[in-house]
Amino acid sequence: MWRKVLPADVLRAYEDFSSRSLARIPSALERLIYIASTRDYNSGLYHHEGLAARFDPVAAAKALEYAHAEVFHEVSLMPLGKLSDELEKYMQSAKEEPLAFLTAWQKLEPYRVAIPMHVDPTVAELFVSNIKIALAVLRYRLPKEAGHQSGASLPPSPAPRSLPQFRS
Amino acid sequence: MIYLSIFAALVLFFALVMLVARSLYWEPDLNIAGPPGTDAAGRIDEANDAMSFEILLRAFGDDDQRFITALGDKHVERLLLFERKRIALRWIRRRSAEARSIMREHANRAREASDLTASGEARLAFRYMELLTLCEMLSLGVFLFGPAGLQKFAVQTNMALSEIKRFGNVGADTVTS
Repeated sequence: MWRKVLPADVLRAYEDFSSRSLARIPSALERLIYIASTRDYNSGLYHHEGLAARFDPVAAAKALEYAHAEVFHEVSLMPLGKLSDELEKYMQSAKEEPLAFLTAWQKLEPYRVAIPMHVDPTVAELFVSNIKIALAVLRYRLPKEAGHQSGASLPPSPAPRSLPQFRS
Repeated sequence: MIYLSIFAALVLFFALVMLVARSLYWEPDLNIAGPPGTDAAGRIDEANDAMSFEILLRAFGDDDQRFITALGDKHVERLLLFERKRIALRWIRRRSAEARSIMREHANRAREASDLTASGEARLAFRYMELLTLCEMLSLGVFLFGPAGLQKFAVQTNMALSEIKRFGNVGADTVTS
């Protein structure tokens, strides 16, 4: 993939973030969700306590934005087989009832918050499209793997987990 | 005379199919601004070209179709076909719009140019017509059969656009130099 030339301070912050935080997250989808969680929903600004303490806050925010765009492209252009596997792993790590997880993701489409602000619109469309298909794949696999054990009427667990905590 | 009638009927049929295909295309519900502007326009162009090619490979490739076919669920297969058609048509639309934008820009610059060559302009016009034809044929193919298997055709369309960009830039350089 073509890489943008970053200013030196942003590059240092990006490399630090990649080696300290991102390297510990095994899948690209989880990395994407983690980076998206560092962005404020209201302002669209990125903030990471550890990174902002070690680097200039503006450079840290730009490093996060760049990392977000990079991982987003990686996930968007991922083959469906791999994406389905990563989504399944994420679903398992969320420790949520699989059927409840799939229903929430298909109806509420929370994955849309993982789309960076400035991104090629076709890539964003491809991302949404691929996640929809991967969810359909997981739903199809579900009855076979779960042996029809979970009822569709089960409500979500009372204390749903939020995004996994990877922060350093 | 009968051949002429058959030909006219075929042209009308394809025009009708294209109209139906266009009417089925809808704008995405995502309100994405696209990459921010920068003074390094060449770099952004290069990035967009690389990204466009990667989207092409994903949307028109058959890896995903093989994976879904192996899964054996008709619902997921239909969903894949529907989604891939949507992405592929959107990709074609954007390439076509990009070509129109290049030609518009070129025409604006050409008005002020003093050293235009007829052969250069004819070549550019020919490439532009070729690209528009390719886009329409590709849209028709995607609409009728889906994008899988049309990757070569899409690559050819992408190459035609690259040629137009190159010719358009050569024209612009001539004007500005």
